[in-house]
Amino acid sequence: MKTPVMVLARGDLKLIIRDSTLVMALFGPLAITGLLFSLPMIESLIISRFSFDPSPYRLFIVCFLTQIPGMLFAMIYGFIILDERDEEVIEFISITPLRKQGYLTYKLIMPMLLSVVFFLLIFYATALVPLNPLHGLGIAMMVALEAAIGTLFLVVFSENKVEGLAFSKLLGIMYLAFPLVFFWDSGWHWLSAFLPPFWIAKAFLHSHLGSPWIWSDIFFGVIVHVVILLFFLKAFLRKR
Amino acid sequence: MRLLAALKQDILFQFRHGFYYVYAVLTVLYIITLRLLPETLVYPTLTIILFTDICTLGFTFIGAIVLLERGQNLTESLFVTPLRLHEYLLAKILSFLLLSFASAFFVMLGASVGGHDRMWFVYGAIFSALIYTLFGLVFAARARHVNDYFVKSLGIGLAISLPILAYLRLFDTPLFYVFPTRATLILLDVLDHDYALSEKLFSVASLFIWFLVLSGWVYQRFDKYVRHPA
Amino acid sequence: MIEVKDLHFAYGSNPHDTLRGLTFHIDDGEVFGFLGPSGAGKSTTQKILIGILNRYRGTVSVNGLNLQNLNSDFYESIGVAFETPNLYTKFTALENLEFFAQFYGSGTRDPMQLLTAVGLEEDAHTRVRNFSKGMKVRLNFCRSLLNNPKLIFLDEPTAGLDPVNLRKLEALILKEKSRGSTICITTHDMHVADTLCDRVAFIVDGEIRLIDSPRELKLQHGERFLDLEYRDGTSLICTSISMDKLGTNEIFQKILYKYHIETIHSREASLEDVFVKTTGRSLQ
Repeated sequence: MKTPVMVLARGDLKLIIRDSTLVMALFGPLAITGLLFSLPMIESLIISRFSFDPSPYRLFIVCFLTQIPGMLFAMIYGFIILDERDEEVIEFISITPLRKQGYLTYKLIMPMLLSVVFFLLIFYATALVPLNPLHGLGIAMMVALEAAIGTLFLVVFSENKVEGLAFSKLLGIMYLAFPLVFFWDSGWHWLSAFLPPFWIAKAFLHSHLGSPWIWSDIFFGVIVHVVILLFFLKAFLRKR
Repeated sequence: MRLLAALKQDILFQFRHGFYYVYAVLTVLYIITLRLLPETLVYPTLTIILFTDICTLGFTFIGAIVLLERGQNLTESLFVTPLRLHEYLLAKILSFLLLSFASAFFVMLGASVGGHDRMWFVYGAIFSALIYTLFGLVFAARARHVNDYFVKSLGIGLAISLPILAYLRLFDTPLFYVFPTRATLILLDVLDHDYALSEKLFSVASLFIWFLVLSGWVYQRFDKYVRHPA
Repeated sequence: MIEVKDLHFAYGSNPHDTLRGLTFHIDDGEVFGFLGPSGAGKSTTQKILIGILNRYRGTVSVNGLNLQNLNSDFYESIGVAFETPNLYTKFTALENLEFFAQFYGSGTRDPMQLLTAVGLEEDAHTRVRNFSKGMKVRLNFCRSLLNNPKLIFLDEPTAGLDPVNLRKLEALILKEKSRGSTICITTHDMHVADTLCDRVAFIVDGEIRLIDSPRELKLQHGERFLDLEYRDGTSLICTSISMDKLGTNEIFQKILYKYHIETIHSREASLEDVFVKTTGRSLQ
C-alpha cells in the first residue's frame, strides 16, 4: 500500500527531475563544499594579493558558509510549495487523508533532514575548525529548524515565485546576526537575538572558547527557533 | 506614449512584488558593510557587490518575471495591442536598469566612494546592467518554468563569469577579452586600479558590441517564441 | 472584412495539420461564430486571424490586408478577449484597463463605463487576484472593447458565467454589433451561437463542414410539423399537424376552437441536432 507520504515523495522527485531542479539543488551545496575544501588555499591567496591576513576570521567564515546549504534547501522547498500552490495541488491535497498539515509536515521535514545531513557532513569532513560533537548536534538541531523557518518565510510572505525570489534575497539578511555576534564588541549586538542565526553564532563562539554558556545558547536558541517556526506555521495554515 | 506606459507598468509591477523594499534593505546593508570594512577591502568589495548583485540583478529576476507573464498569458494580450515588441523589451530592460542604478547610486553615495574615473565606471555599471538583463531574456524566451530558466541560465551565468578569475588575479588569458564580463570587471574596477586608456576604450566598445548583438538575438527569439509561438 | 482561402496550419513539429484547408469569409458588421468541440481548431483559426500564429499556408486577408504583411498598427482597431482571462493579478480592475488603454493611439472608452456595463463598477478598485472566474471573464471582455474596435475576436466569451451575467454579456455583444462592429466568436455553447451569430461555421478536425445562419439551419433540418398538447376533459392529448396550409387545416382549427391548449411547438431542429447530424460528432 502506498502511504500519502510516498505519493508526495514520488511527486517531488518527478518535479525535481522535470525541472532539473536537482542540478540546482545539488550544485549550490556542492559549490560550498568545494569552497570550504579550498579555503586554506584561498586564505594564502588573499594574503599575497591583498596584503590582508584573513586567518583570524576562519571560524566565522566556516560557520557562515556551512549555513548556506541549509538556506538553499529551504529555498528550493519554498519554491516547490509556491509552485504547487499555483497549480492548486495544495487545495487538492487538503481534501485527501493527508490534509494540509500532513502536506506541510512532509514539505518541511525534507529541507530539515537535508540541511542537517549536509551541515554535519561538510563541517566534520572539511575539519577546518574543531567542534565538540555534542555541541555539533545541538547546533545541527537549530540548523534543521532554521531550514523549516526559511521555507515557511518564503511561502508565507510571497504570492508567487517572482515575489519568492525577491524575498529569498531578504532571507539571507537573517545571517547578518553572524557578523554582529562575531565582530560587534558592544552589548548592543543582543538586539539581533530575535534572529535565529544569532544563537547558532553564539553557540559556535562559546564552543570555540570552551565556555559553559554553550548550553544556554542551545537551549534558548531552540526556543527562539521553535517560537518563530510556530508563528510562521500558524500564518501559513491561516493563509487561504 | 506606449514605451512609457509599459515602463511605468514594469516598475510598478516590480514595486508590488517587493523588489524595491528588498533592494532598499540590501542597499542599506551594503552601505553599512562598506563603512565597517578596512580601507583596503572597500573597493574590491564594492566591485564584487556590483558584479554579483546590483548590476546583474536583471539576470536573476527577468526569467521569473517573463515566465510569470507568459504563465498568465499576459504576453499574449500585450502583443494584440499596438505595443511594439521592441517597446516591450526596452521597458523590461530599462526597469531593471533603474533599480540597478538607484541601488548603485545610493550604495556609492552612502559609502562615500568615488574617484577620478567616475565616467568610465558609470558607463560600465549601466551597460553591465543592460547586458545581464538581455542575457536573461535570451533564456526566458524559451524556458518552460522558473526552475528550468535557472538551470539553463546557471551554466551560462557561470561560464561568462569566468573572467572573475582574472579580476582576482588567479588566472588570465587573452580569450577573456571576448567575454563581456572582462570589460565589466575592468570598468567596475577603475576606481580602485589604474587601467590604460586603450584597455578602457576596448571595454567600452566590447560592452557596446555585446549590447547590440544581444539585443538583436533577444528580439529575434521573442518574435519567434513569445510573440508568434507555434 | 475577412477573406480566408485554403488555410492550412500545423503546430511546431507536429506532422499533422491542425487546420486542413479552411475557406470562408466574414462580412462587415456580421457576428460570425465558429462552433465545434474542443480541439477542433476554433481557437487556432482565431489566433491566425489575429496575427499571433503566422506560420500558416494559404491566404488570409483582413480589411484587404494580407496578414503576412501585418504591423502593430493593425491592432489599433482590433479587440481580443482570449479564452483564459489574462490580467495583472496584483493590479486592480481599473488599473488593468487603464494600462492597456494607453497603448492605443486613437480615442479609447472610459474604463469605468465599461466596468459598469458588466456590473463590475463596485470592484473597480479590487485587485484581480481576488476576483472570481466569472469576474475575470467579464473584465477580460471589457478589455477587448477599450479601443472601440471595428473587429472583435471573442474566444469562448461566456465560459464560467452565471445566467444573469451571461444575458448581460450577450446584450453587450449585440450592442457592439449594432455599432457596426464585426465580431468573430468561438464557442461550443449552442445557445450562444444561436442567439448571437448571424452565421456559424461548424468546425470538426480542422475542417469546416458547413456555414450558414442558425435560423436557416434549424429550418432546413427540421420538419414542417407542429406538436400540440391539449386537454380533452381530464385526459391529455398529444398530436402533430403539418404546418403546410395550416390556416385551412380543419383538425387544427377544431382543436383551437374547442379545446384548452397547453403547449404548441414547431418542429425545427435544434442547432445541436444539426451539428450532430452534419458532423457525426457531439459538441462536448
